[in-house]
Amino acid sequence: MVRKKEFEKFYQDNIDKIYRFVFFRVNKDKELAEDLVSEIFMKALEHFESYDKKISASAWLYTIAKNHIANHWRDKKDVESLPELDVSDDEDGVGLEDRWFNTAMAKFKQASDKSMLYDVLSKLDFEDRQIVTFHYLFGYNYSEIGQMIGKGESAIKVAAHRAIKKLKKLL
Amino acid sequence: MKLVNYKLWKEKKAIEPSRAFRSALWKKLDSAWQDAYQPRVFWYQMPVLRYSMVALAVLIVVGSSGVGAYAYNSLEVTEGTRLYGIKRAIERVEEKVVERRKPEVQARFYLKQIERREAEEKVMVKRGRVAEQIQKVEEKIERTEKRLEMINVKLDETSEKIKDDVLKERIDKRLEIMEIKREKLKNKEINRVKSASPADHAASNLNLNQEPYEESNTSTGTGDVVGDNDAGAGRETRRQGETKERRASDTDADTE
Repeated sequence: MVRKKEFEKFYQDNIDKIYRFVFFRVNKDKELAEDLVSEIFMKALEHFESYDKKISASAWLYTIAKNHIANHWRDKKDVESLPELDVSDDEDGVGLEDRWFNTAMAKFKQASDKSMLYDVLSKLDFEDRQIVTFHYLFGYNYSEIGQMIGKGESAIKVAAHRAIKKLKKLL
Repeated sequence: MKLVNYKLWKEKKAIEPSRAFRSALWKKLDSAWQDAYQPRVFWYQMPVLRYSMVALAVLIVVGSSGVGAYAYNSLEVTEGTRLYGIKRAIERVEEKVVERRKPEVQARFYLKQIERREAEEKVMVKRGRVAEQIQKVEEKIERTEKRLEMINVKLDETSEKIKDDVLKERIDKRLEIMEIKREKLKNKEINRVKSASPADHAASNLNLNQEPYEESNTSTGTGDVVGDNDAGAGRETRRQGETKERRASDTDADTE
């Protein structure tokens, strides 16, 4: 049986991270982000009993969120909002499903005139940008990011350090 | 490096779910949980029987053991002492019983817990216990305060008003103290980053994985390691300083 305390802790640990990820993913649409986050947690509650405790809970919830958002866009058939259409085809090594990331970054860049941050972030290569965003903006730790993108914790740590150094130079 | 970290941290703080959304979603999940996972065994469905069983177990544990009773009641039994485990175990059983009762009863219980932890903290400070143990107690207080905050949301939403005005006042006062503490910590972090000297800058290069801008998060434990001994010692000193300041501000707020 699912222990309520366990689920409560899971909720408290992940609500901020997953909200930030979804908010970023839906281009700062607060209401949509809140709706999607609610649905994502309801899904997580349904399957909480069967989730494999060997993998990080955050990585598991991230996978649910990613799939849920993909389904949302598919169901909406909102062609203009489909992230991959906004991105040029010259980004080698970036999978179609990951292109949303570049689009979101571009939208944030347009929206936040005050800050050069997104401008500078967009100058990093895809993987560095992803690591910096997930760690410093969304709040995931290195081990969780490692599980999400299939790399070791130390590799992520080194990459994050290098990326921050690059950002420092760019700023 | 500090500037980059600060800008990222600031952006992170700007993208946070509102408190109203957070508590509303938890309420929804809580009721969904009740529907999906509430045990269906017959005796569990009967609250009187359920509470009596747990209360009986508590009575047996506390009553049959003088040590248990002493551990539970004594403020001298604090974090790091041998009997503290027994004390916490009894409190956890008590919490299990209270969890199933009205929000008002739960609020009273959590307020009592916070007061107990604070009294323990005072004893620990008097005895000059290590900062790490005091930090643990403070984390417990913080966790209990968060629970109290959630209970308060529940209380606000129930159609029945709280009859006990003193209780309402105590809850409000405690939540106010909590807000002040949070705000102070946040401002302190901002000021620390703003006033960072070039020497700090160099130190931050050495201590790559330190994340002074993030709020303490139980799930981020695995990713962060200390860079070197000097930086670790510096952080320990800073933590001790912060602990003292927080205690001072708590005392001020209590006096008010």
